[in-house]
Amino acid sequence: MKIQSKFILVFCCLLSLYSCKKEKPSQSDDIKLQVMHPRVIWTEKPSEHAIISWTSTLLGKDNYVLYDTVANLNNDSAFKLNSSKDGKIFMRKMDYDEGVPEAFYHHAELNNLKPSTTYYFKNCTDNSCSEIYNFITAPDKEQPYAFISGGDSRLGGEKPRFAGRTPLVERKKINKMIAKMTEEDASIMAFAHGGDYCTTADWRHLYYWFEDHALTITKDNRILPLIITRGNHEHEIGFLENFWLGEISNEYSDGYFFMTQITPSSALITLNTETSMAGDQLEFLEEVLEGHRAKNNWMFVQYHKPAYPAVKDYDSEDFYHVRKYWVPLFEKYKISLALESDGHALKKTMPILNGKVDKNGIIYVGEGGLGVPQRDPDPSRWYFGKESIVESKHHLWKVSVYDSIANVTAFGIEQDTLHTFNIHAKPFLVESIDN
Amino acid sequence: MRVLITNISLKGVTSIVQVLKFTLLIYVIAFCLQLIKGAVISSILVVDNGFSESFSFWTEKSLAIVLIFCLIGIFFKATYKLCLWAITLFLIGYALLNYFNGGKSLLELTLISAISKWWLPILTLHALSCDYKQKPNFSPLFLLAVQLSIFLIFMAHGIGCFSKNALYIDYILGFFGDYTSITLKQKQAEQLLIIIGIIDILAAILVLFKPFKALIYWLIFWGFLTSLFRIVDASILNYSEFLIRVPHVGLPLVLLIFWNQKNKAENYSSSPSLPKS
Repeated sequence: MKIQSKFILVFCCLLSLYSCKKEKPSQSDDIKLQVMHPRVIWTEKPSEHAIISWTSTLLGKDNYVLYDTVANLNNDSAFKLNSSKDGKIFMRKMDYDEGVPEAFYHHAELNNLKPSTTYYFKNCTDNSCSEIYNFITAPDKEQPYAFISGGDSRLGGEKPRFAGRTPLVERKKINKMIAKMTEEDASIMAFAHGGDYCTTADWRHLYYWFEDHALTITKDNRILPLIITRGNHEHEIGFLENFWLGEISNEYSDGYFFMTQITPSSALITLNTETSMAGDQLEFLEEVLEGHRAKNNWMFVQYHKPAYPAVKDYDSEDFYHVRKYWVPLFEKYKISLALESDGHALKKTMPILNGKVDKNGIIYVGEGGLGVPQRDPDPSRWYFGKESIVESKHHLWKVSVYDSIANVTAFGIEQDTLHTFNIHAKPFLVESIDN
Repeated sequence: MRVLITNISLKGVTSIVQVLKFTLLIYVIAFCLQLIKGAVISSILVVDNGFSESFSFWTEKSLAIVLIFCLIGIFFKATYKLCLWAITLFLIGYALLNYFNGGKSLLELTLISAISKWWLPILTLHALSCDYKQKPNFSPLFLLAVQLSIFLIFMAHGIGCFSKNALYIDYILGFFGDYTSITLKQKQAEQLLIIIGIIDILAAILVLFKPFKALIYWLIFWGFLTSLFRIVDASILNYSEFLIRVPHVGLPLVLLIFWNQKNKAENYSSSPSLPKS
């Protein structure tokens, strides 16, 4: 066969693949400007910094956040901050077929905030502004606090479950529960999401996730800041567009690992199992633990794919890599608790050290129950025992941190307590590395 | 330009059949092993469609059993066609399920490289037909399909290198960390990946337009080495990931047989003892 025909064949193959992704023409001619999906994101220094993100149905010329520490948010006296990043949310044919509207993302970075302060804000695109919402910055002094942790909110409801076709019942219920818990307990500061928000990060999925996420907003319009983890269902460009973390995220999407200093002596490290675990991220983890572990009584770690899975194959190379690269550092620096997702089950392992159950080891909890249908876990694995829990139940974890003790409780979808246990702070001295 | 021939000896046909059968056998067995461990089918059945765990468990295991029967069926003249078409349909369906389920990076790339896998049984079907009919003449499309398969595998791999595939970075860092005294940084591993990516893409283009013997040996070596990394890095327990990449070696081997046949034909025609037509 001639070279020319081979060229044509390859070209046709590539062209047909490209056409699968081709966007439809813009629909924005008759669309009314709407501002929606408000969210607050925490990254490294939540006592002085936050990212406010929102979606609009038109790009607009003037995208900004009005914010202040007073509730009535006077337009003249409030601070006005223009967005740092805006753009059209990528849509493919399936998104249009699903009927989600074209939309635009906006992110504004608030700096030099006051600690432990309620900030009121509204986000605006041109003349269209949202309601006034509020969030509380992290403290710069020691105080008891709590955060909510959980992952896997990608589906739920009647079968078959696809984006927007059925109400995502369990996800909505969990989100309402988060709002209720935040109303009942003002010490809850943040919502650490362990990843797998939706089946993909395409707009047909993320749109409904944002719609449902609004249910976490309390009656007094308080928004719980999100601490974002990247899961394996977030490989599409939509994740980078809609969950922008400032300089932590980057164009190659190999960022999304950082340490959040929640209080002066308590931190949460977020790791990314979807990028290299042995490269820059490993160096980051070692540096951050070496530099910050001693001054943090509490050092929590969250990431998506588990080291000790309850459902999936223990020998899978992703899980193996977590154990090979990260777990030795967790053990060396005695982290307080590891928060995992991905498996779609409720689990708490026995304390694990050096690949064995050991009372001085680390407990791994998880493993993704924010709405996704639950799988049957395997309780016979060596890291489950008397003190562990391994069940197929929707759940979220609430971690309440005090001076030297932390209570970790799994709540079911009816806010029922599924499991509760305490962990003690493990003081860490630099000399203990040598020992 | 040197073009491979499709008129080969019956021995060559038999060799190609053996290589393709072996490749398909290992590939499908690896697939069955992954089904037994729990794969995307159970995820779609349980998570998307609300079926019970036990239903999905038995569905995956039943499919694995059916696939094994299909594998047995390819060794019989009466059943090989049906079995190979069944395997093809399964592989196409599985590739699409993977794509629509999401949850993996570079899904479009895996869909492209999967094309080379699902027409593996079709290639085997054609080769077996030639063998059974004692017809030492492959369709030119057969050869092109083999070349295109290798092109897609290596092209997808090359693009993966340029996209800084995290797993590839970890293989490089893990290999140097575990087996040498050299400690690489991620940036260096990424630079190495770019070089590997260039070589992969060059090899992919050359195999389609101008294959030569050294290139084919390189493809066999590199296909085997990159598959081997799956167990070198993540222990022997990751064997199914190694086995499932057997077409990366098997398909270049088929090309090598074609090449050897071509050389034999050239030697034969250039032999002074042969009558010239």
